[in-house]
Amino acid sequence: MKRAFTNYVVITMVCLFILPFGSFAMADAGSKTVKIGVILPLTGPQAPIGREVLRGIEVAADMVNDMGGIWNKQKISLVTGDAANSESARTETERLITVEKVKLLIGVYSSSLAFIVHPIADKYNVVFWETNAIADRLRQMGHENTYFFGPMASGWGSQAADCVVELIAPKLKKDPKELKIAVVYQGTEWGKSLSHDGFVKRANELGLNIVIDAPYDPNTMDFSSLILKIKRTNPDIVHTQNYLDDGYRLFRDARKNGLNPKVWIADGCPWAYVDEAFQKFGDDMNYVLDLNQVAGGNIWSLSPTTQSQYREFLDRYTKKYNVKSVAASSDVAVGFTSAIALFEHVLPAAGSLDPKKIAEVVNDLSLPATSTARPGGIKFAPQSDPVQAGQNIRAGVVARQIFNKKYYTVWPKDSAEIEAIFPAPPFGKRAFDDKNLEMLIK
Amino acid sequence: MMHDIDRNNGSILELKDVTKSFGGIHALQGININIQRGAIVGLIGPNGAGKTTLFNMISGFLGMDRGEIRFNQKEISRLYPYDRSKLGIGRTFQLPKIFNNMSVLDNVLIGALQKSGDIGESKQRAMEILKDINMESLADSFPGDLPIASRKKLEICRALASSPTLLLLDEAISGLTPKETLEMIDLIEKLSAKGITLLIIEHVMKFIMNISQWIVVLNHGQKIAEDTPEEVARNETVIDAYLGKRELSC
Amino acid sequence: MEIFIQLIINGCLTGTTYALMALGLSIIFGTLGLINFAHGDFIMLAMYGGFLISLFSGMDPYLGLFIMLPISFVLGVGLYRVLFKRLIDAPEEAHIIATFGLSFVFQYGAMLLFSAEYKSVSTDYSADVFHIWNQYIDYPHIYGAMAAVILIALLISFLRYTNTGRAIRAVSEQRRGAMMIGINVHKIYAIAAGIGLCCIAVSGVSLITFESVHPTIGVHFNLLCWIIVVLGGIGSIPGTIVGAMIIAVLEMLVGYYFEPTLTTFAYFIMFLAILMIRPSGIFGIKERRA
Repeated sequence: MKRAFTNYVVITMVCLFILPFGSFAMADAGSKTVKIGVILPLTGPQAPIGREVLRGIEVAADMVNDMGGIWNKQKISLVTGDAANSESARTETERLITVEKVKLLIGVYSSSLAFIVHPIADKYNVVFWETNAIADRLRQMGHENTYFFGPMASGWGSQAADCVVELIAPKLKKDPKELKIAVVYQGTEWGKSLSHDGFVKRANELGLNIVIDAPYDPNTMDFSSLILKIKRTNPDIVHTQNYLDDGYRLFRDARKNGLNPKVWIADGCPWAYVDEAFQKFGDDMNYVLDLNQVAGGNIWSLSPTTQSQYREFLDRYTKKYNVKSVAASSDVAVGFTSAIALFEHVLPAAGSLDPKKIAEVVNDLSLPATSTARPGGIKFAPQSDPVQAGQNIRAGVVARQIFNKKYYTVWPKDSAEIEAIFPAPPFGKRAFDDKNLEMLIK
Repeated sequence: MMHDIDRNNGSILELKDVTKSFGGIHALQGININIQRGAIVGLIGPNGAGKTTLFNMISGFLGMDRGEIRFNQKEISRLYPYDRSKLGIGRTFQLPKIFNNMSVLDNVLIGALQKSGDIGESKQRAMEILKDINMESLADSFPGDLPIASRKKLEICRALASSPTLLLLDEAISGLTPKETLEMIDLIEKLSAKGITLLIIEHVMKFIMNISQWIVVLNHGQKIAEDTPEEVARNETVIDAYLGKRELSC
Repeated sequence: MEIFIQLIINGCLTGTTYALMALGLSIIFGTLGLINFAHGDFIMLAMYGGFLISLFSGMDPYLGLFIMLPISFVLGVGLYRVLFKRLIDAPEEAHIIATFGLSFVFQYGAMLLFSAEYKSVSTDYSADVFHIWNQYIDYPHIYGAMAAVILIALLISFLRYTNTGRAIRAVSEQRRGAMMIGINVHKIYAIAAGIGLCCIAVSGVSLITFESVHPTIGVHFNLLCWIIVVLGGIGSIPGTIVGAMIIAVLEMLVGYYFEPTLTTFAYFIMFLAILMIRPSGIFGIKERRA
């Protein structure tokens, strides 16, 4: 026991102190550089996401540097820290700030890591440019120099309620208030802020009829009981928020138990935009309405300069990392869009990494939806806002309907590619001929 | 199989300089014992003297720090318990380690199976053993429901199934009623008559002094005496160290 | 009432899946006394096994068992020789630390080999639903239940009617007693580890027909299987089955009549309650080993 314990301590020490030094090699290329810290999960379970986000940020930095850099030809140099788990997120952030002396950090993607990393940046008065973390509560922690480029969870949910009124009800030819809506979500912080604080709250404001508000345990292996409970309410619309496993199981058990709503909304559900879903459910994935932030999904509606910039990113990314293509809403696009907005619209105007100067620039920013490949546009809520301090309030979501493994934007109206088709046929009868699409294309 | 109990038949088991410590405690110190083939030997000593430790070493559950154990002249101290069992060492435990989830017959059967492998043959042999020990009526009952005496007997039956030539009995009669004790004495004598050498740990003096032909006395991990029961009863060291003021009546 | 019956049927089907998942743990823990916190990760690897076989050969994952079972048995024996043998006499903390380590190795290994993406196998019957008296039952679960019933029947008859099976039962109940009658405990342990891994292979193959696999899926399986095995009674196969059924039906009923967020919580409470009344589990044997 004693020896086992010693081994355990030694291994932990090695992990904590030795491994981080590996990333030193990446630091500091020349003297005239602007050092920016990137904190992301680069090893461990979330690494596949974190590495992609990092690549997006790297491409953004390359593009800026190749154009001559910022502030009188200074190059951007990225210093990475690995937030593999909560412990290394803490030590790596401390290291980037105290050892590497970075004054600005970009990352960290996941909300659970953000709860650890943001307070540290705040403690040292370092600016944090958050690429994605969506949990609402992060905006309410009083971190004055933390900015959230992506949408917040409740915004995600509340926009879905608007979508019910603006898109779904007219398509079903019904008064929105007559529609019976079932709300199903993970009983987690993410699920509650998206579905309960976002969708349900906004639905109530709009006077919609929520027939069941059902959080669930994401570890459930078989959702039959929940599905039967929902089925009894005979809903027109099922609004769901799930992650991966639980999303597959819920959809599987809905199909198995014959729960056939007219509209199935997958709101910010990672499972609905992974190939696996088509593998598993085939044609039954047709007609599903996917709500997402879809970085890069709005490319046809962008200004010509933003469009060509995004195309250059796609080109550089596929060449640099030898990959075939980039899916809309992929993590690399999230990384790129977040970073390029910072490098292009914030840093040049601020002239330095001083938090006060950056705050001034961010406060004055107001850019339309055509200026970023992340849907919505750019405008930040003031740090005095009690609910969404530092939030990009224009960060939006789009609704896309799925047909034969493709995603077609159907809402908001301005960026819609096709007319949505509702009601959805029951499971098992959802095969769809692509010829029908041609009639729908706007 | 031998039926006489001549002590000059040579040793079946020899312990030479057997030593074992646990941490700083000397559980056994330089123990030398020879067990004569066919004998009934009593192993006595106060609590913590090292009796069960010695059993565990002979049966192979504990390694030694130093010393040798020879069984039929063969050095066995590096063998696993199941290999020692195959050579002919059987053993029972203070608390019978029988299989409560199996019937009495299966308990004996599984022992027999390790010898032959043939289920019919083994079953026959198991029944024979049970019959011999007057337990055949219990063949289908489960050991958990049986009184302690039957459980102890069952453990002996199970050991017999692997045809031991040396049988170690750990507290053969503790907890038995006087009637059951008499039955156990009969059983032990019967086993001895079959030529099985017996090494018995027991606290009940009257019993052990009566049944044994030879007594080994341990105290604090050391052998303090070894002799016939009559001589041991008279041995001053034994009386001082172990028996204290307790009356020693044979 | 109709809903109730539907819930019970669904619960029992899920229960057979759970039983299938927990059997391997029940055998390895029950026989070797090894506290294996990597059990869920073994299932994860078995799911990848089923996935790979059907990917490369196009066979139904269940047919893939003809390849997987011998491999699993050999792996089990090897794992016993290399690792478990050293562990079983060590203190329980060592079991926990070592198997936790193994769990990390498996998870990171799977991450390297398969990436974090979700993988699954779609079969001809993936989407098929059996519709009877207004009840819906999906074929993958039906086949899973059949696999479970066959495996359990084979296992019980093996343990009851073969010499090796008897020896496994003897060793799991009284290791020293078994050694003393000449049973080669190390051989029996190696066989039991092999059989345990075979059970895990069957459960992994069955799961891959209706679940997606990813490197960390085993974490939740592990907890679930432990609760089932301890609830049912360590080393008892009927206990494992009953424990699995109780947990699955309880989940269904709590999810429907009470609160879907509390399903895991509910079986925890149930688990604690039963252990307070019967510390050795429902079918537990009171006395184990010295």
